[in-house]
Amino acid sequence: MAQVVNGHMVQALIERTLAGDEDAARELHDLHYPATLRLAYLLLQNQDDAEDATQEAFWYAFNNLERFDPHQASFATWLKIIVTGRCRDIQRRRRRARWLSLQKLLEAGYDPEDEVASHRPETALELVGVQQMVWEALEQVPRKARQALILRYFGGLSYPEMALALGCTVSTAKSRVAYGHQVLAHLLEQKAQFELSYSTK
Amino acid sequence: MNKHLTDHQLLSYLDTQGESGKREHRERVEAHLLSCPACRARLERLSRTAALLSSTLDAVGTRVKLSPDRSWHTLRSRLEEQRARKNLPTLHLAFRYLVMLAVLLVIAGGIVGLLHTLAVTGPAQATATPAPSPVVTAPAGPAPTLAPLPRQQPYQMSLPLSILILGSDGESTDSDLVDTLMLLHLVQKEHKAEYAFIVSIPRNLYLELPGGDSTLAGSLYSLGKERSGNGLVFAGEVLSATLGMSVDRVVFLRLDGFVKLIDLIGGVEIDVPYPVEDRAFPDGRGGYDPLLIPAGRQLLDGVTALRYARTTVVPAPGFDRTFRQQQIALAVHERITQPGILTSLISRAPALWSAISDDVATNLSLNEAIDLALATSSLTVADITVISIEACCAVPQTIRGKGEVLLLQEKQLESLMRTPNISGGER
Repeated sequence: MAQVVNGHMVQALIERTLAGDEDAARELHDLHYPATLRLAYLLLQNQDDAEDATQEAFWYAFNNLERFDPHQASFATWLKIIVTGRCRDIQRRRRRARWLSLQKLLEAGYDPEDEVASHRPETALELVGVQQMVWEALEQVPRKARQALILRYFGGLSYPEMALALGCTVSTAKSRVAYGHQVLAHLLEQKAQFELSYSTK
Repeated sequence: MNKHLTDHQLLSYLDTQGESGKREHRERVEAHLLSCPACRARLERLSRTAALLSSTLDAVGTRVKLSPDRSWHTLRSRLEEQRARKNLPTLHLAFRYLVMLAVLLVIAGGIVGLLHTLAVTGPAQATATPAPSPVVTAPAGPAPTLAPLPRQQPYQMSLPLSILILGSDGESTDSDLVDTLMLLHLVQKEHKAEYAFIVSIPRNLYLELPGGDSTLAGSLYSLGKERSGNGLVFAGEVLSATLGMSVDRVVFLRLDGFVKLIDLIGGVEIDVPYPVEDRAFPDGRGGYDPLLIPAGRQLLDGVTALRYARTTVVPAPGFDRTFRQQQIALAVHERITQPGILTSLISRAPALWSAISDDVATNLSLNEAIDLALATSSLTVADITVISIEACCAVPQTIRGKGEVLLLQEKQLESLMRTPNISGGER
């Protein structure tokens, strides 16, 4: 599934895009669209939001194409850093909207204890076995650590790149990955034990 | 080497496996691992988690629905629209201004024509019944109720005068959201407007309201309507306070009125240099309504003219939105100033007024509108200076719940307003 993208080829596409070549712009978009959307989906766990974030990331990238510096990062990485920022914006808005709607519900006499698993992200992914378990566990990892894990193990970003994407320091990025690891491993062991005891009963 | 390795150390060891660099570091870690089964187990666990995570994330990733075509088309049209705006912002604004002025002119023009007729035949008669005029050849049959009392001195409007123009794109006919905000400031010379400047106000300009609320410029009119039933006064007051400029009168106008206007003058004739084909023209309900206009001289009705101006396709270099908008503005102007059209407009003034009045709200009085029409009739595009707040004195900022908005840089606007050709000094 990983696409082999040649750096020189991408650079040529960028230059042609800057010169106004629409075919090159389209190719540049199509080449990077899948990885960018997938990353956004993993971060947001919602198709519509992921598409919005991806659209905004490309919009920003194409408007700031002359600022892209191939010596600092690949175009794909640059896009990943941008899209992460857009995803964080969307999450911030979502949290606020959720908080406001919760306020209204509470005023109307709603008890959050009634409904534990509300706001579940889309889960129609048809994952099997271990992967389903890992995905469910990942959803329970605190947000910032989860983002760091996704950027590290799906986005393939380095720690300095993650720091840029997440707006934190390099050492914070490292700590988040380490913390995410701990929580995830712990959750997975719990789940494994639970399933074991469940199947032996 | 009896201290256990930290997770950080183990993780960076995992990351650098297979890499030749940092050998010293790796050798130290390996030495410890050999002697410490606890750390070996932790490393094992970390690498197992990492592998599980990678494969799961990849699996989820491949299940994501991809729609690259839609993404690209959205992106392309946004980029094109932006390019059109960037290239010639002044002309674009001038177009909007001309359109609005044209509507004002027509509303007023019809009545001005009547006045003129009445003035020729004599005021005494006029107050009773408007007699057929010797000047106007077309049968003049206006409703007397609409004609204002003839005035001895028509040029009574005191200049300078600031008029806030609120234009709604009319995507939906009930919408009171405003897309175009302009403060038109007319400066006088001997009863005629000598020149004008337009302050173009972005619709996402962030405004603080009295009482600690905030809103965006585009929502002012509807908010005012909601609060006090008078969107015109509210919008005028808030913008006047924010910009530090007086706002004397306010006009609200839907672009629908523009469409009706073009139909009323029998359409506009346009030389279409290249065929215009936009298969993805939005129909306003989320679908497409293809636009196809062949090359050559075409008579366009109101709706088609508007779509001709709005489509984002660029069939040939330079033949873009801005160019087409300018074409239409000129065609409207040409059409209205044709003597035959004007007389027919005068005869239909009542119908015209009632057709357009749904789409126009203003606190200009009829007489003021007439004076305004007369005073501005001598203005050309060259006499109009356009100041774009977005370009000169605003910074974008993301505000929670409002998305990206523009914040006014008051100092920059102030210093700009002090330049001679704007403050009314030497020109």
